[in-house]
Amino acid sequence: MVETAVKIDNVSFKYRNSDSFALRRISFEVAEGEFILLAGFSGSGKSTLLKCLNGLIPHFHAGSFGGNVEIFGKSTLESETTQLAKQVGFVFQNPENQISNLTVEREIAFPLENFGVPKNEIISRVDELIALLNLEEIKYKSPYSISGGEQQLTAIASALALNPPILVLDEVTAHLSPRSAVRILNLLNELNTKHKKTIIIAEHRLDRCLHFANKLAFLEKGQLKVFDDVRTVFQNKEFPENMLPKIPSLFLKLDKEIGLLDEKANELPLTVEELVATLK
Amino acid sequence: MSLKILEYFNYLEQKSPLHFVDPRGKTLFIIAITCLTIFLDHIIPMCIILVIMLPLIFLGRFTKRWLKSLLFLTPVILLVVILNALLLKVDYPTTKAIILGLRLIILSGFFGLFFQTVSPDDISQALIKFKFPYSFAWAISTAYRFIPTLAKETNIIIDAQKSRGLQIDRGNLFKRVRNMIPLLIPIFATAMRRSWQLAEAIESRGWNATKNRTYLYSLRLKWWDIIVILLSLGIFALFLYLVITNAPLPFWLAYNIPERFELKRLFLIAWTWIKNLFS
Repeated sequence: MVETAVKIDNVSFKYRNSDSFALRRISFEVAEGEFILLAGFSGSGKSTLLKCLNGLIPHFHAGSFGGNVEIFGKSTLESETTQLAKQVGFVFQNPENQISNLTVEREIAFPLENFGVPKNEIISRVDELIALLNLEEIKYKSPYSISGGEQQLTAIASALALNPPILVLDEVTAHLSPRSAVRILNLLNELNTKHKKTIIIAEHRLDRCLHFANKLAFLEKGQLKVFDDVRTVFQNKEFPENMLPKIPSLFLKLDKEIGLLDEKANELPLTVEELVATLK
Repeated sequence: MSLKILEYFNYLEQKSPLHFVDPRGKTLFIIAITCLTIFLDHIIPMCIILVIMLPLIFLGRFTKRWLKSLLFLTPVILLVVILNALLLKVDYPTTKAIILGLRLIILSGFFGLFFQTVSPDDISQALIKFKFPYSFAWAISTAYRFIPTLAKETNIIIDAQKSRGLQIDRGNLFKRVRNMIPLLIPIFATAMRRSWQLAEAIESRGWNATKNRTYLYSLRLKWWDIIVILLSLGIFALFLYLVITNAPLPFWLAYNIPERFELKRLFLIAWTWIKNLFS
């Protein structure tokens, strides 16, 4: 039986010194091994929601927190963010602002050092991650001298150092070139499919990772508008038309004209290949 | 306004012999040499230190950067030397003024060399070895690490504000200081945001999860480090000896520029000559 990795139950949050709630009564569950896409316009509360998953909210950010977040059945209210690092790896939007060590190798070792892991184990774990993420060439380089994509890969490797079953990523491709973004998203797909990591990612460019995801959550003004399977979520009227990814949008337009969806219910194509196959 | 000078005092990842010296040895050396340089009051000993410094700068692969940093410092050094030579009311004011200039050159060289060859991680490790708490050591090394990043951001903010018509270098001193306000607010806000995000990132990766933190790398003294430490202690002992005994230096070390070459005198001669020329 698949275990529930994340359970968000009626979560609301208001930052201190803010007049309005950043999150309003949000509830959904994520099963172990799922790939969840979090979509929404700027200021919709995506980052705030993600910060609830590793306890940065309410432990690090002051404000009014209501509801409950459980990670594998344990409330984040009971564990500090530091302790949750073993359960939830977190990668932030700007890679430069999350790097704090002088070489890529040391950056990856940082969480292991924090937990007092013996030196020989640190070395083997770091080498393992460097091989997994193909970072051999930049192992001894300064994280400030490498590209944005490599910086973000370093940050992902560092978040994976403690081998957390859940990986949370907050718009990690926002500062990257299209090529680096694709590399990162492919890696996340590999982590999800091969290494069975539960991935929760806030992402603006839905087209690029739609076909990897199982479910999509759409937030608007701190409220969860839609949470459904990626193949059905776009048919929901609550999902804004101007946020529709290209292929589903094209398919839905075609459907309006020639009624494709009646015949191919729940077969919404997400990629060009799927669209071609469906039309055939 | 340029913060380019800061670039010459950054850590540079290289494999020079000085990069392999333990940061504790280098710290002791810089303390000892700074004490001696500030205390010494004669041109010849200062020149000897300068001559000793030059091969070290070459060994640390700092020559180009040091010369560039000197280009930035030259106006300041010249101003200090000329003003002191003209205004100081002591015996041999020109000698004293030149000593001040030499002191600036020597300290810029040694400190530049120190910062270029000691990485922020080394600073942090050295502090940990001196039994400072890890969070303190981390804060110091991170602050040091972020200097170039903040300098880069500051330059971007300056360019952005200039492109919107802010005139930083215009007006009197009071106006120039007032012109800095539109720069200080975004610089401060950016630094705050960056530090906040960094705090979130380290917290998310198990910051202070255990009291028994381990380290991938830790410092170990090698034979050459012992030599550097002994040498530094020797320099410091010499400094203490000179301070405590106030012993006069041998005459060949205590050279002063003769009175006939005093800058004030030469200046007055030149002034009289120019006056006569036009009268």
